[in-house]
Amino acid sequence: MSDGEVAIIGMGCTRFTDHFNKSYGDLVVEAAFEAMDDAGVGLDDLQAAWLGTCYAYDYNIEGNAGSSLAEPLNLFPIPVSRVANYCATGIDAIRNAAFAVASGQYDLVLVVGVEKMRDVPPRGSLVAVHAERTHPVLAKGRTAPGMFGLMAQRYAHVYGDVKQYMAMVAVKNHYNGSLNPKAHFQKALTMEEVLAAPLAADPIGILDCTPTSDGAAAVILTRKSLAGKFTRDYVLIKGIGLAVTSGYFTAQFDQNWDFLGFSSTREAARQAYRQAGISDPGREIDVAEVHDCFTITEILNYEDLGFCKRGGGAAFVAGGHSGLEGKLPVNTSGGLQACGHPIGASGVRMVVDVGSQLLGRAGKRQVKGNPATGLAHALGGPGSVSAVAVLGLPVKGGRK
Amino acid sequence: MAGIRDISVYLPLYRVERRSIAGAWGKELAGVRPVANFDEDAITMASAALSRLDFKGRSINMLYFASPQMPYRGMLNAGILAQVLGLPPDAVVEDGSACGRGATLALRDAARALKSGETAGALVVTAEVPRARPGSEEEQDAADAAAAVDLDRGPGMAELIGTASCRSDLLEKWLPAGREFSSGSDARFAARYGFEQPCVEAVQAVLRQAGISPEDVQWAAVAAPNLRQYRAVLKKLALRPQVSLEQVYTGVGSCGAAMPLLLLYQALRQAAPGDVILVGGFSGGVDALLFRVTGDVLGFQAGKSFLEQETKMLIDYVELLKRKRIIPMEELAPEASPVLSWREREEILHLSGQRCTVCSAIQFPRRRICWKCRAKDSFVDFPLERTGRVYTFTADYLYPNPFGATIMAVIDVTGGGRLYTQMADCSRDDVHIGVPVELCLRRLHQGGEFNNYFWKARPLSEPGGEKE
Repeated sequence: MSDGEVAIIGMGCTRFTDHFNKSYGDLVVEAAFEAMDDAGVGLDDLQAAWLGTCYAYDYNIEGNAGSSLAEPLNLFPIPVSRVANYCATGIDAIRNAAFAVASGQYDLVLVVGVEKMRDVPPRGSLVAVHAERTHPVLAKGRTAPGMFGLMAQRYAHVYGDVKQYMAMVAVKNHYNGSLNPKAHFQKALTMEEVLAAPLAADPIGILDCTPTSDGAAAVILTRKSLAGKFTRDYVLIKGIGLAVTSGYFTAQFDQNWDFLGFSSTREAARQAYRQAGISDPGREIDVAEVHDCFTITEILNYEDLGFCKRGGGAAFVAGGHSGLEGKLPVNTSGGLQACGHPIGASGVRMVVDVGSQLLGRAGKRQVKGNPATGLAHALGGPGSVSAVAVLGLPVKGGRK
Repeated sequence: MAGIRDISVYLPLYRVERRSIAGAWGKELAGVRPVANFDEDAITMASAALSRLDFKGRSINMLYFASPQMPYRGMLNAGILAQVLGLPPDAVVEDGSACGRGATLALRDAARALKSGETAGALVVTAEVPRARPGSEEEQDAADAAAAVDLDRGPGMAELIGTASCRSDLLEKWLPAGREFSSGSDARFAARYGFEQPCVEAVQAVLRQAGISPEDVQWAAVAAPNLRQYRAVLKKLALRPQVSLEQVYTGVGSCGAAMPLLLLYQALRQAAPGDVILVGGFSGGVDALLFRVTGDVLGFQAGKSFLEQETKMLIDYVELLKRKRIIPMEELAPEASPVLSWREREEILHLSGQRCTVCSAIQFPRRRICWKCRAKDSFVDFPLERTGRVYTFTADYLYPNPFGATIMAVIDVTGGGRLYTQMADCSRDDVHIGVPVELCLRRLHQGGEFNNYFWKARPLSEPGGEKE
């Protein structure tokens, strides 16, 4: 898609936490209406919708198809599609909606990312999905932290001990989360607490892991030429890249993989940067939300996204460059570490958080210096798919 | 003619101190016994024994598998091993007798087929993974072991020169269908009429058959219920005492069907060309086989024997009861499909991938489109080697596992290919990047109500590994 063609005119997000008393539909309504109110539109104005939910039937009966979005909002009879692409689901849902808007087929569309994981115990959700379903013998024994434990071990083998740098990511993101009323965890952590936590998958400890959460986030899209009709405050999608680089069950059988980063991130970023006209991301990106399902992942993301050179990720966080006051603040929302990771919702939440930074709405977490270009990055499967979105401000107009 | 080309023994890595078992019951005992890991069963142990034979390039079309602890009834267990070995569908593949004479009866049957010309090469493999009643005497002496023999029509290193059998027709030890633990009759009654009497008959018969007198038998690899009865029957038969073979009784223990082969292995390790070896197996009678050793035996006698192999970690009695699943535990039963397992049997049981004929890239698992050059359906089979090195790994504490952390590793397979799988027989401290491993068949789980076997990576103590 060419730059600046699609605008985000409304954004909404629920708190991410264990919403035992809220249904899948409740989360949809809350996020969608916050976004619609932000855009000043109503249900009657929506012409099509996209739903991002990663797993249906594994821990919740909703999310398998467009009906799971249409029913709670009574969108009947407009077209609603469900998108699923592991943890890249949310950004991919936005991507598909953006194509529809850019093509001229629709003028005003809704995207909702939502995942309701806590109707079952945490072990009953993602761990059960991996342990009890999936291929009966290939990669059996794999868990989400396990996949990244492999990366951390190899990274440490090549570049030196990484656990303390992982802890710095946890401390940074939990501090940011303590300033975010929508985060699952809103309590700062110390290095000592993170390093002393029991192990999940060596060397990843349980405080290096994102929690299991419920939540939803939503955006309203239109074309740039129509955006001004609705609001003065909007951001533009400058580029979205998506790359699939391996199978899901066989990713770790890839003989070409050095386990020091993800080619899917690099390829998705390459696509997005080309569309957005970015050649030096370390300098041109002002703020970013990246996929920190585990703290080691954030370190690898800095390198794969080109914020620093290969092998420079540990030094990047150690030098404070990704902190709130740093030269490229990363995960000012608290990231997946503090916000949690309702899978389908996360990519949309990232876009909402980046958009909020560009529009000056981030409150205590606001990055100074008028950030104008932001990035959202999601990494799915064991790295088999990645999506990167670059957001920018319109040249005229802009922020409240 | 029929003879032994090669023989192997597989003992599990772990040992339990008998003191730990006996202490739970207020007794005192010394010594250690081998205990299979929680992911081993008769089939995986048989696979391990077979992997320690070297019959590459030979055409084997007969396989006998005998174990009193066959995982399945009503189905051919040996078929799983045939798939592991890659035997053709028309090979003679048979489950032998599920009792202590399983190996010796199988040797007799294989020899008969070789002599008649029905086959040119045969394998006999046996495994014992007994589950004894807690507190019983059987429990104190039970040992987990497996052994395999490679036979062909030449004399090999030991030519078969006689066989004889004598039944006992009494109940000495038996496991009724539906019962969990074996029953036994009076020890003295069983010893005299169940073992000693038929043993004397069978051994005297085979010696007569071969025209050999007792003093000309150098090695008596005779399985007996215990060491005392072993010594007693040798004396009764005027066979020479076997001090070195007694080490199998004291160092390993009672391993039923595998016992005759462990004793035979130890005898061959020390035998001189021209020596005569008597082999005996018992259960409901005795089989006696006589072998004459040839000059080829000298090539068999290098390296370490199973009595000298490295053993790891002494486990305690509770751990033993968990591994034998005598203490019930909740275990995962992941989704599984017999259809999928059959369709992917080449990868799953034979560890076979492919090589692209256009660009030579190795593919594992198998696929239709080459991952490197996108050629379609242009592959030849490429079985992965069974050794490799750890490229990276992690110890996972979240994966449900009643036996502790699950260690997952990415293995660079020798000769090409990559495998991502669980590690076996090790703890976190045994693993680091670069550790050499052997790939061994293990039972991953029992999802779908059947045994899902796959390959795990087991650390080797040195590159290339130790072969028993």
